[in-house]
Amino acid sequence: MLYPAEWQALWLTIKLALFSSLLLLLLTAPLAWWLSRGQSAGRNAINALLTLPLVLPPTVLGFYLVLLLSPDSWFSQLLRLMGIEALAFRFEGLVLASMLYSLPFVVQPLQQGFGQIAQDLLNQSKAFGANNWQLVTQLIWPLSRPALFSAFILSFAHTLGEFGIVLMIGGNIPGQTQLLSMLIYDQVESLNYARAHLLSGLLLLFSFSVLFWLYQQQRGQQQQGQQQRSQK
Amino acid sequence: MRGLKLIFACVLVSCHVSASQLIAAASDLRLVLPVLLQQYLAETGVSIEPVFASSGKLSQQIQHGAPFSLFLAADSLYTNNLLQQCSPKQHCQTGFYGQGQLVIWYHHRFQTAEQALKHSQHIAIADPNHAPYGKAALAYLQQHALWPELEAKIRRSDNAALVLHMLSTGQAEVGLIGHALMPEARLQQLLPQSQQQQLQLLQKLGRTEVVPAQFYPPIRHSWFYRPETKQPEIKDFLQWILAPQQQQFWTDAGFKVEHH
Repeated sequence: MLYPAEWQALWLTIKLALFSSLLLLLLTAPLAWWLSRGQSAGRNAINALLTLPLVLPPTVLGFYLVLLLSPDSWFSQLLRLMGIEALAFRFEGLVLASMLYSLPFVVQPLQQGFGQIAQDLLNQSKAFGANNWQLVTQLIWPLSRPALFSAFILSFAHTLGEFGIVLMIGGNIPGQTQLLSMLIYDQVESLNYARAHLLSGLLLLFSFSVLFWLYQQQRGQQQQGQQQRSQK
Repeated sequence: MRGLKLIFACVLVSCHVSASQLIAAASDLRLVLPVLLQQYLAETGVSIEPVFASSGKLSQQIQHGAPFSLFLAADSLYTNNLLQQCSPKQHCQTGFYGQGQLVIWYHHRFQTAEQALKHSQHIAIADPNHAPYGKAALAYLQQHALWPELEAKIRRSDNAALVLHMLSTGQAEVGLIGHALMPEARLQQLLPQSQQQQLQLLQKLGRTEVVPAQFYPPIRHSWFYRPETKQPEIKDFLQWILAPQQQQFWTDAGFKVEHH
């Protein structure tokens, strides 16, 4: 049904969504925790900074990233000193761009989820002798699992649909940076409407399935919570 | 099943087109260049993967580190700029491979191109800021006596190939594109079925005329070559496309070819 180039683009899209979502979760969870633990001008400034990708057009972020990642930039020279090649037009550059672009989709659900864990509960657990590791593994992790899950799915789904910024950073190179969204654009330009229909339908179905699954999971968790409350 | 195997292969090893060499090409070559690449693959066994965009965009990408050792541009302005930025030790080269021609497509309900320009609602052209055929189309329209009226009807698309898409989907009744996007019948027969059908549909819906060359600045298609150790076969490919045996191809694609 799909040609090798299409499988490649599909796989690259899934790989990018997986990599960037997992890395984002790992890197932003401590920050989201800190942001959820109080209000201050500093926290608000960081929150505003992290939400910027939601309001800025992808071209703004793409433009700055192209400058930052190009081989002659200070950033690329710094990377070269560490033995790393410039990131523009490479998969690693796409991961970085996707992470930046999906930041609010991960930080905001995490922040909300962490914010629902009452400080009193943490203080009481500490008073009963729980150490930080026990707090994280036995209290924070189980309570924030739904938020982590939502953040991951939102970031994953968002990355599947990326186009502008990844086109600017990646350059639509088959097998290296060409994602499914770019391949669809390519097929439209080439007047291959049948392939464009097929790939668009595939992406539509896949994105719908992911979101449907997310809502089903959330509903399941809500029902579970209600049952636990009624049992108490 | 073959697809699943490929996915698993991609999971195990990073899914890169290591066997293919990459080249960048102007959007007006989007339909015809794959035909040439197929011929080259059949003759030499070397697979070359093209990346298409407007010449201006590709030139920007190459300046910012895109890994193309050959760039087939639609304007020598871009290849000359890239050459100037090359250091002598990079041994970059440029050259001319053909003069592009602008064609006007207009819907059958208009009798002539003049009438079409006057009475149509939308005229599709590529973005003149970074697409050479867009620049040529704008120069042609600006010389027209009705320019103030025509200006309001212009619909810009990202590149020359998207103008064709606008015409085939009825978003504009008149369009100015590169001849290579409406190649001669002999070359059209070699295109994939879906592209042939779309071009035939456009031919049924409207007429195509070559715009006389005196109405727009010359569209000098040029190549830019930057030797890369990772892509050693590109030089051979460049020599192959410039060889006299390929002249018929370029003529069928709507280029005026001179001696290289």
